[in-house]
Amino acid sequence: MPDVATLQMAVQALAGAIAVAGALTAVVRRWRGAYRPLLVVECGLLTASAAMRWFAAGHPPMFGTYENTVTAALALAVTALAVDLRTRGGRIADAGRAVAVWVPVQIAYGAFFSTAAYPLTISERSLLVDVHVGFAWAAYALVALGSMVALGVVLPGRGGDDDADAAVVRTAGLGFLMLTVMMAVGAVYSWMLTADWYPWEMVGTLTAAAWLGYAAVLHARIMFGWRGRRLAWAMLAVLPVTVAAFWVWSIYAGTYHHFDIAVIRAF
Amino acid sequence: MANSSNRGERQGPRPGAGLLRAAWRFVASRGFATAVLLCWIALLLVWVVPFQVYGLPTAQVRGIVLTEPFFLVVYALLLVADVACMIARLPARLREARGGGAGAFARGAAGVPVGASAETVARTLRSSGYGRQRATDRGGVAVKRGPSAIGSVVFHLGFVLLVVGIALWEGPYATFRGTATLAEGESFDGSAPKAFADVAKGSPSAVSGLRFTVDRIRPEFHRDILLFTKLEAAITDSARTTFPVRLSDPWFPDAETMVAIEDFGYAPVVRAQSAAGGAVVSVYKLRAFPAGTKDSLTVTGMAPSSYRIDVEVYGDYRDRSGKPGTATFNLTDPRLRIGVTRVASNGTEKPLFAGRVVRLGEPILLPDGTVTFESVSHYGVFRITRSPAGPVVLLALALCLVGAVSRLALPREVAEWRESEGGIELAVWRDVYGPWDAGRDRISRSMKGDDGA
Repeated sequence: MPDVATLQMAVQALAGAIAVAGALTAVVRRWRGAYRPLLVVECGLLTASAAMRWFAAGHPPMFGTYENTVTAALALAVTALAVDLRTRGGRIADAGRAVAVWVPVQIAYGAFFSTAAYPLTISERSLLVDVHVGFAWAAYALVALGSMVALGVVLPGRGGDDDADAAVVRTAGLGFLMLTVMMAVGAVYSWMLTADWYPWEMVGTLTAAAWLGYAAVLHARIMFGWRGRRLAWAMLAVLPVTVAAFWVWSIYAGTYHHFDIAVIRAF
Repeated sequence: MANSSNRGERQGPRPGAGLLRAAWRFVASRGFATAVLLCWIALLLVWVVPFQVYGLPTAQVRGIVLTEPFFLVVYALLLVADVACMIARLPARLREARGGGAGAFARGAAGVPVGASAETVARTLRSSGYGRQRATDRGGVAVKRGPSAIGSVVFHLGFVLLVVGIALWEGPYATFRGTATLAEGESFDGSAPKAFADVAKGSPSAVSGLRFTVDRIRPEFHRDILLFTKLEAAITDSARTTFPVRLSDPWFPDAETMVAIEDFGYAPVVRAQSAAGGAVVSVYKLRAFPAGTKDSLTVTGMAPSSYRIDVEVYGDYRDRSGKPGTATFNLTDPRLRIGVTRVASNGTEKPLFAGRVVRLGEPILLPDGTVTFESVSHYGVFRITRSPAGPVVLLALALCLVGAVSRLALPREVAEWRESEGGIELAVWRDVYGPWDAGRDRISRSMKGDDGA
């Protein structure tokens, strides 16, 4: 009988295959009927995968790139499903399907990294870290959705409408809120850990820039009445910074957020 | 002589008053605030990130962000814009919080006929939480979560307080930061002259009243991997109360003081028995982790010579084909690999031996006596900070969170109903997010059931 960690990897791989199928049904109109069932199965498998990884590693899946892709994929898949359940066609539903396309990309990215399950290192053993990471992935999923709505607005021949504007602002607002909670909790923890309120390393800098970027999007809407393509482009302009903030640590080790540990064994 | 034609005439505007007004309008404007915000973003992305990609140490990057003049100017302008915007907009926000301000139709929300009477609409809205109601010439306005209107003021106030708090924390006066290296069983006395191994900022007199004893330090590593999974200390304060201290869970003797454990090392207890009969027992603090890392200690008390002993600590000793090794990085079954050099009183050095593996308690015979490593315990590197800025920054963060949650997650809602050709129509508006048709339709559906119309 394989152990839980091995089973989890199998479940994650299966979820990846379902996610690819789900992404195809999201894109190909005549297969659209299978989209929701596949998305439900995908969410179920990703939830099981996250739970199994939690059991195998002894902590929430947030240590290292592989575990974070498990959590990120789950957050995106749940977001896509929530949008599909609450909308009946239209731009928001299109954006939800676009988010569903991210899921297999996320899962595939994680496959390039070590899948070994390790206990948390001492700097991560805190409820504050769990809260910090939870809000991080919530923010990620929200701004991903808002960015996909914005993408739908700027595509040639599309343009914006009130529903799209409302969705962009709502996701920018809630995403900004999630980022604020994440950064506030992170600041408190950084102070406890290092007596420094904010780590101005790569991830911290990019996150601050993304946070200010979404603040600028909200200001543009509330104070200047930006709408349509202008608002959408403002939202999309922040997306590369956000993606970099959330994933640069997976390839750049010079940051406190890098947790793909180098295995140094006793000799 | 007074000019009678001037008597009683109003004086013209004071020179500069118009300029001041224009300056205030500019500083309190949305454009200025947004421009400064964009400047900050640009500085981070165009200046800081490239340095980080280039590999500039984090401490230097931090110095740029916190002390470089460009950044300081941006922070100052942000503060000014923040305060000016809050002052300029506070009256309107307070009015909205009390249920005033423009209605939903005036803000551009679309109305739908609800097929109910004005009284039913008002009653349904009240039961849905729209408590603050006022009549208009054609109907009425009801507000839900009115106080959320000042959420953005609270958030920006928190931001101002945050900048003040960080300035206090980073400034040269208010914050003390130092590290003390303490082995198990040792005591810390903040008033002692050499209490701190290092003082990074401020004066040790800030913590002269701090006293505690280190009872125990326990580091732990996962299996045979250099993966640090635990660093805990137990310390007892002057009131004989014991507190756990972990890397991620410091001890707060009071609201402004924090004691955290940052690192650890090995602290061997060494007995030097002189051939003449005297014995000296000393605790040394070695930087000899992980296994294979060499540090040295000097044993005196065996006159006329002293002995420099190079030490490697193998915490979980294994013999690897004649070479010392360790099964894990934990201190489970320690052995020491040592090399000894005799240092004569005139400074002449003579190596005696190297690479010998000894057990704890095993006497090491030297020309002038015997040295015994009686035990190996741990020492901890304790970071002690004290600053009145800590509570200020925490309060600022709390204000930012409260303001952001109230404004963005629980925004003020304005429902307005009015008479129209088709009967009573209803529109709903949410602060920040604009017209809320889904909310309007939900209220409308509940009214249809309520009115029986």
